[in-house]
Amino acid sequence: MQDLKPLYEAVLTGDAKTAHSFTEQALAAGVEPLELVNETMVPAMDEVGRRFECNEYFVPELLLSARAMKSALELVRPLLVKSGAQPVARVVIGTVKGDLHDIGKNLVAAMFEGGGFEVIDLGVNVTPEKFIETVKAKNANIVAMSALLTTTMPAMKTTIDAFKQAGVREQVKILIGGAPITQKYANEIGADGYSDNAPAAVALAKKALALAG
Amino acid sequence: MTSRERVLTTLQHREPDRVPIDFSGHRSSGIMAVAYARLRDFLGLPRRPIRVYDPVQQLAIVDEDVLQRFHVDTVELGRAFALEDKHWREWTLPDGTPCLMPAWALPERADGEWLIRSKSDRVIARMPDGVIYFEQAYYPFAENDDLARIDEAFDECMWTALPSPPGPLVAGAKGTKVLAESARRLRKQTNRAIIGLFGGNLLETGQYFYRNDNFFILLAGEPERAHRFLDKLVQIHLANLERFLTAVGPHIDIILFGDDLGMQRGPQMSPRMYREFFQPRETLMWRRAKELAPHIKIMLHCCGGVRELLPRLIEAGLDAINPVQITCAGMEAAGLKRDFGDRLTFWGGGCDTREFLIDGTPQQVHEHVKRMMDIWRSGGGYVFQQVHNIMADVPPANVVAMFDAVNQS
Repeated sequence: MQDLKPLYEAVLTGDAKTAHSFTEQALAAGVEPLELVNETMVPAMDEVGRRFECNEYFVPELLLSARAMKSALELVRPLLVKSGAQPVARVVIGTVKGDLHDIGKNLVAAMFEGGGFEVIDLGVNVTPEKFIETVKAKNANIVAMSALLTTTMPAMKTTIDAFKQAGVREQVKILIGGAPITQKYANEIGADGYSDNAPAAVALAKKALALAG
Repeated sequence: MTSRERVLTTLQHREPDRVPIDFSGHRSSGIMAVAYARLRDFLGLPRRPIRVYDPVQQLAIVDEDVLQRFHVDTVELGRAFALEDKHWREWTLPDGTPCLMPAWALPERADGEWLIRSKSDRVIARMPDGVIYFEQAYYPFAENDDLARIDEAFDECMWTALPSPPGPLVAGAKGTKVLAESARRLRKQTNRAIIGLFGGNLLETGQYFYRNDNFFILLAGEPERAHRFLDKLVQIHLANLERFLTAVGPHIDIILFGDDLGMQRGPQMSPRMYREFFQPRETLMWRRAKELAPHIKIMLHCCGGVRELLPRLIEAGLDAINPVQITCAGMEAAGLKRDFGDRLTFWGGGCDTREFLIDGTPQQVHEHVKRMMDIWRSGGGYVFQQVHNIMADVPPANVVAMFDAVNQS
């Protein structure tokens, strides 16, 4: 039984090179891809998230770990797809129409991937129609929207209203985030959740889905 | 008291006759051109050509009649430059209002967007239709950081290639003379406190050149490479500082450095990382500034939640910090005043811009600002500004209520 701790440590300390080479070697030795993800990568990113929440890790450390996780995941993902393994859930993520900011959104996307989610990243300046069309096409259960400006926040309400109009609001949990966003605003516009940091977004998504199930 | 005396008194941690006011004294205490046009109409002031002196953030030069209406005590050194029509070109704001842009930063129209190009013709900034200000389109070091060509990077990056006035108007030896002469003239003409915008950004220049996420990964994962970049950068800043303060030092009151170190929930980096990479270099620059102009006050523009970094910033030689983002973690006004108010001038945090200024009624804005002044004013060490620039959608009635509340408090 191969000891997978080196991969856990590599992701935790942001060592992309070791994460990649260890994963390569473990897969060659016959370790199950899903085991690598669920037993090692996801717990490592959970621990990264915990350290971020209590201010041991900051954004640089978070990004370094996310990069290490991604470098391992890129070897594992094609094998998961081949074997038909299902992700925890599918997330469609994007920055709303009129807004081009994406650093925070990218961090949340990386944390979702680390949490075992399949992420469809629509980038920036995303119209309500594009969100809806992608949710339908990919059968997604979570929509995550980002905005950095008070002037673009209203596009979140417009998008939620568009989901209602299109009859697909009940199909998804809608989570929002970004510097000007508050829980109060999330409540006002009928979002299912708000988080002020990337690791908490993943926990929120898991909680939101459990409630639906 | 003159405006200048008022600002200097508060910077010396003595309470002046009233709270000094900064409106458009730097590039984070201003007003977007769209909102400024509406404000002038609301105040019943004659329509004037709107000069957008900050092409990226689309901030308007605030005219003397508005500055007087609000009893503003500060002026930016840049107002001494680009005074002639030839320095400006006609453009149109996103809401259709005509305006003037600096001649060196005139946007060009492309399919579905506005673009700004560098001198080498590369697109460095874009504003797609529906977006209200320019975003960076090119990161010079994202793929490959050739430090031998760092000078070129300054020319290819939106934030460093599209300056506000004076910008290219003071290039070269002849330009240095213009810089000094114009500063001297402004000092004679105004009794407001003069803020000279210098920049000297460290973390931000890394983020502008490499892109935020790449630069963070460099700091955390390849520290020697990050140090090499920052060493090169600080040498450039020090050379610019010599030139700048030798020319304008005697004629200005405050030199403004810039580096956003915070975000909503706290600092972007650990205090340990700040101490390793940035504190020694800030200390170097700020110490040199005081050597060149002993009377000058050092202010840092620093957005976000930075409470944990304040002791280090004070240690490095900081006199004042703006814009004091009071809705960020750790940045509640009362706590900052209590813990740091005797050592650091808080320049900002006067009116929340995330909720009150946009969604409040004028009465709510008025009461909020009065409450904030009660917290900030005692013992000096405070200058009023709203938390960052007034955005396009802020109702003019709220802007008026905000400044009137400070003036009545």
